[in-house]
Amino acid sequence: MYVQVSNYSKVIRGKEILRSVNVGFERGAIYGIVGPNGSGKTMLLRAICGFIRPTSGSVSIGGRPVVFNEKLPEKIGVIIENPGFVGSETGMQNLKYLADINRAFDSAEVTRLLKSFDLYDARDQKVKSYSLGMRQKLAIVQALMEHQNLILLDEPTNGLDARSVGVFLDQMRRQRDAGRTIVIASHHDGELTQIADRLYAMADGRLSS
Amino acid sequence: MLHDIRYLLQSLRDKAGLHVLVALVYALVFTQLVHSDFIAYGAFDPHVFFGMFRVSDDPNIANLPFNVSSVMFMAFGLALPLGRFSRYLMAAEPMVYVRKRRGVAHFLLYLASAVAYCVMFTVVQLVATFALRGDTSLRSQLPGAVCAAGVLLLLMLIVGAGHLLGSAVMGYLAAALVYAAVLSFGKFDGWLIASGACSVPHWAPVLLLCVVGLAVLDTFLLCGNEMY
Repeated sequence: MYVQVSNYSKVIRGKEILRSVNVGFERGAIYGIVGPNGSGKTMLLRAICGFIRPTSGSVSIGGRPVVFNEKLPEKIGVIIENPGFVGSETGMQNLKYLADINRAFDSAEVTRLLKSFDLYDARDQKVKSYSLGMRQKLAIVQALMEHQNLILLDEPTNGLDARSVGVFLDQMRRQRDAGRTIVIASHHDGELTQIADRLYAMADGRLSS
Repeated sequence: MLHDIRYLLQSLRDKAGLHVLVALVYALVFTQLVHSDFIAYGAFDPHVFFGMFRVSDDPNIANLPFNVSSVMFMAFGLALPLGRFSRYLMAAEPMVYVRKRRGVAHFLLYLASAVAYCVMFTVVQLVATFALRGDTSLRSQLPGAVCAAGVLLLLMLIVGAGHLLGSAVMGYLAAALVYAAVLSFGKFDGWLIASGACSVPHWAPVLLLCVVGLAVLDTFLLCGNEMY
């Protein structure tokens, strides 16, 4: 398995947020995790990113362990919660700053993604003038722009209109066909059933297929 | 680092109006106290910087109320940023931290900006003191100004530790209690103000040790802070 989550449990202030989660994600596939708010979906994505320490269990990516607050074994594209773009800067500037962290700005890929999400014309506008949907689309662009092999998306279609959802689903298929691993967490199973190769259900910290 | 700097600058620019309001209130308080000759609440001493703590020279007046100006300096010094520095310290943006982990560099930028703020906050009041009072000098004001700026930085680090431990309120409370406790003991304050080896006042090495200790603690807490 490209990504392996093994017996991962997380307890916060006495409450078990994740309970012995065991799941593996292969390359070149889209996985959906469906569950109500508070079920642990976002926490699982945080665990894969190494943003939290496991109470027990482990995560590995490409055979290498993910260790809390240490450099990740692979590049990950992520949307978790509301994206915190710098509002006083333009959309393009925000993308450049993020890509420049690892010196990975690919102008052609960014242009392609912005155009596919109808954001290209707004690229030089300040993000504080963007609507919720535009910010969400910009967040999707930043999650894909560096050719990340693993893409973790939490409620990625929040605020998107029907056309944008369609574009998003097409992009996800394109990324999967390029061999990337995509994990999408959502409380809407409608969109996930359209593209997910495999669906999981999350409830009360437990993952089941 | 560039993203961090722009994120910090944006967070400082937001709600500028509220910062101005707090600054105006403080300017009023400052002006009143600098012109004060009312000894019971610590009349202005041209030989001591406004924000520097002092020892009550009247046995009938306790040390804490004698230091109203110093308390105001610290209180408004902490209030003026409206918690922005601490919020930057705590910033846990997944888009950034999936690309580079939060660590010492993040803390050093926070520390540098906090130092710059404390220096600026102090210098503005130094300039204002000279503008309002003609009976003082840089030689007499400077040591106290340095001490006051250092104490303000120390209190900001205590507040930061509170944030990192999960409670901003406890951070502010701890800062208030620490400073109130220090001001309450006139003999201890007298010792701090007195000169030690090489004519360096005792507060200098004590403050330096405390600031370095808190900075190390905050760095340790930051690096261990989970993002959930």
